[in-house]
Amino acid sequence: MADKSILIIIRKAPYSNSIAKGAIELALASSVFEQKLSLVFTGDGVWQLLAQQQTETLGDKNHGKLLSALPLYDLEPVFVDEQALNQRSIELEDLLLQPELINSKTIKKMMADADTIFCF
Amino acid sequence: MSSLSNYSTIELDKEGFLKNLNDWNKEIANILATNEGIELTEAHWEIIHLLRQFYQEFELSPAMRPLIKYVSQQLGSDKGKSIYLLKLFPGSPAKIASKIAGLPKPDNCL
Amino acid sequence: MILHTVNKSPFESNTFLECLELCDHGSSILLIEDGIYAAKKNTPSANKIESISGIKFYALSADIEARGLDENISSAITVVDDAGFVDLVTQHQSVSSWF
Repeated sequence: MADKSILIIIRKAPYSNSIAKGAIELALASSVFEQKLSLVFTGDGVWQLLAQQQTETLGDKNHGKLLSALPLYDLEPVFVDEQALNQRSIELEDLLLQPELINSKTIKKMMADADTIFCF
Repeated sequence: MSSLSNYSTIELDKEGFLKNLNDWNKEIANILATNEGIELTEAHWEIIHLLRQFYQEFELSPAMRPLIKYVSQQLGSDKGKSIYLLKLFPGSPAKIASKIAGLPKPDNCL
Repeated sequence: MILHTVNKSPFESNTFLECLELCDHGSSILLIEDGIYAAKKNTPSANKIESISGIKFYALSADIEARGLDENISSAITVVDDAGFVDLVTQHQSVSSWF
C-alpha cells in the first residue's frame, strides 16, 4: 500500500451513538497498517477527551479508556482545536492524553495536506 | 467443544473465544490453552494476567504491536518482543493469548 | 483543494457552520440531502454563503427538487446534478463528508 496520509476529524460527543467509538476503532485498525495517521478533535468531539469519564451506571464501555490506548497504537500526539475547548470552557488539564492544541488555520493546513480525510 | 463438556453452560463463539468474559477462570484458561495445543507455564501466565490487566485498563483486546509495546512497558524490553510472544503463543500471539485470557476477539485482528 | 459535503440542515445542527469554519479558500462545499436547506434564500445561512468569497458553493438538484425548493435557492449557489457531483469529486484532491 502506498504511503498515504490519513486525517481523522472527530466532532461528535461520545455515548449517544456509536460514531465516536467507530472513529477511534477506525484509527486503531488503520494503525495496524502503519499508515501515517493524525487525529484532530474539534466541535463536540472535544467532549470525548474529558479525563473523568465513569460509565459503570450507564453500562457502556468507557470511551476514555479506549482513547487511553491510542499511545500504545503509536497514535500520539492527538490534536485538539483550541477554540472548541474555549467555547466549552474546558481546561487542558481536564483532558486525557496531553493533546496538542491547534487552531483552525492549522486544521485547514492538515486537511489540505492529507490524502484522505475522514470526518466523524 | 468436547473438552469443555464439564462446563456445559459455557459458550464459545465459532472461533473459540468465550462469549461471556465472566466465565473465565484458570481452569478454563487451561482448557482453552489445550485446545490451542499449548501447555501453560509461568511465562504464559504472566502474559495472560497482563492481557487481563490490559483489558481492565482499556476495555479493548490488543493487536500485536500495542501488545508488544505494553509487555515491554510492564515486563521489560526482553519480553516485549514479537519473538518472545511467538514462542509462547505460536502463530498469532495477540489473538491466541487473548482467547486463553478470556478476552473478546481483537476487533482489529485482521 | 477539498470538496466538503454537508448533509444536515443548518436549522437542526451546527454541522454547516463547523464545516465553514474549517473550509479553506479555494475549496468547495456541496450541499446534499437536508444540507440543501442552507441554500434557502433569505435565511442566515444563505446570507452567510452570499457574503463569503473564495469558497464555491454547490447544491444537488435532486435533493432541492424533492424538497420543493427549486425556486428558492440563493443565487450564490451552483446547482449540480449527479453527474456534476461526480465531476466535482474528480476535480478535487480529496472529499470530506460532514454529517
